[in-house]
Amino acid sequence: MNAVVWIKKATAHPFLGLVFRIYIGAIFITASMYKINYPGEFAETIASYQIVPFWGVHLMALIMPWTELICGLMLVLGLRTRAAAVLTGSMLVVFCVAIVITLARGIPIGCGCFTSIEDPLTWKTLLRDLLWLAMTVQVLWFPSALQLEDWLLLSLKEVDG
Amino acid sequence: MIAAGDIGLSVEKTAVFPEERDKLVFQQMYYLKTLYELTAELSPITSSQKLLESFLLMIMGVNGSAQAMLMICDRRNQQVMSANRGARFDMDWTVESAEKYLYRGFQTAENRRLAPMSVTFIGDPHQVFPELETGLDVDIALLFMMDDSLLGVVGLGAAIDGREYKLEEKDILSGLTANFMVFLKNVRAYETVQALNDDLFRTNDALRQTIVDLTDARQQIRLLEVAGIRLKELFHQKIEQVGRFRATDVLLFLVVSTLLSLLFNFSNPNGIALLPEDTFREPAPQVDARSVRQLLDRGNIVLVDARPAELFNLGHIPNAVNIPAPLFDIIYSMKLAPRLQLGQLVVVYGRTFSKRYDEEVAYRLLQRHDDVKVMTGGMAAWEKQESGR
Repeated sequence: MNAVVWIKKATAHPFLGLVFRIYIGAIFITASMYKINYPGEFAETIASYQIVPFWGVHLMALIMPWTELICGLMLVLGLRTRAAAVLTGSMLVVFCVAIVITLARGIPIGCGCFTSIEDPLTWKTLLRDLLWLAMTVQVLWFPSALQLEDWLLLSLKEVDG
Repeated sequence: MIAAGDIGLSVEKTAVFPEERDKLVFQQMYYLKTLYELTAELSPITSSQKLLESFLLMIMGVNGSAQAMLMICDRRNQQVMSANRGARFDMDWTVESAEKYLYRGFQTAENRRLAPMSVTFIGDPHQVFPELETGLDVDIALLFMMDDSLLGVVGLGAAIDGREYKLEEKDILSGLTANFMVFLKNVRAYETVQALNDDLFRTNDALRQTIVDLTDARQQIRLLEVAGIRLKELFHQKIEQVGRFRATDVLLFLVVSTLLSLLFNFSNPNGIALLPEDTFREPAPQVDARSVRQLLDRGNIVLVDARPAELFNLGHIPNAVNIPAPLFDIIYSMKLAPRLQLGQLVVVYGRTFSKRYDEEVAYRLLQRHDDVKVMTGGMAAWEKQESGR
């Protein structure tokens, strides 16, 4: 019984939220960098999944890295954290679905998560993304420490009296 | 007003001498007539200065004088009012000069301790008011006191006909001056009331304006209060929303991402078109899988698989050459160019749901060969066709 309570407390601890927030944010910022600079290569990666219609591949290759960057920055800074976590989580869900489909089809392509040349997708890749998704859910669900928004809110509350 | 005894004749005397009685009656009538005229003249006047002027003219007329002066010193307000007629020059009265002549006058006055609203004659007017200083030769002068702070002097020059002023005339002058003081007192009271009224009107106006301003201010304050409450509510509402999830934030992130990506792509040297290049390009001539099989059976065509190597390795049409678009130039020159004969048909395939690999490679091949076609349906159509055989 005590262990369950301890796990519940630990899961909801703001510092765990802080660690997850910065970790996921940093991953997304890093992942976005190469894709932003080389959208053509990222478009090839998206096309290799054979999930997005051909007319949407380039648009997705252009917009998704910037969404990753903005979400990552917001998570690290702690600004509009919940919205950023929702968007990050949604992207991770899409990635997981795409990985499952691709693995089921048996298409031997790289993940393309960070660069265009990567080892082929495996179930480990899916497991990794699911872990990241779990972290994102924790950030979304529980409060995390050292959020810039909390500091601003504190100032606003002082003004509000 | 003054009594009949003030004109210097006793009743007993009139009883003994009938001529004297007639004269007295005449004098009294004259005196009453003069008083009546004075009252009629001064009654409508409401200005001190005009009162002085009118009174001066009156006493000059009554006494037949060619010159006259009148000065009143208001000690409380430190003001001097004056009027003169027939003087060689207008004397510039100041409080100091007025006090000086009053002092001199009291030195030779018949009654040095004047009661309020009383008059007294100056003993030696020539000495008190030298002609060189006042501009006129004063024959008779009298001091009058309205109250402790308001004193004055009336002076008359010589009579027009050169006669000496009679005692009766002096009495009349004294009586008229006493009446003049009453009028002056009334006029000053009127002026004070008028000034107070004016002041009151001004104060009223200012008060009215203040009330209007206050009303406006109160309205503005009410509006500001309402705005303040609304702002505070809005502020509070925003604070409440800060930590919450909002769908609009997600939308905002997506909009910002889209805008930034488009802007950056515009200036990025590795930028790409928003839609694949082959979207607007004229498609290459097409051939179906069945025809391709027939042509293949005749051994008259070259098959090119345009997909990436990993997809090619998963499965491809036998004898097809894998030429992905990014490696087209190298592989073409190494593998395809040596095999191609003049006029031989090249069939490209490899379209997927996400990319038209075949169109891209066919476009490049068409720049080198005339007879290039794309197999419709890609690998899926081929497999279907093959399974149906």
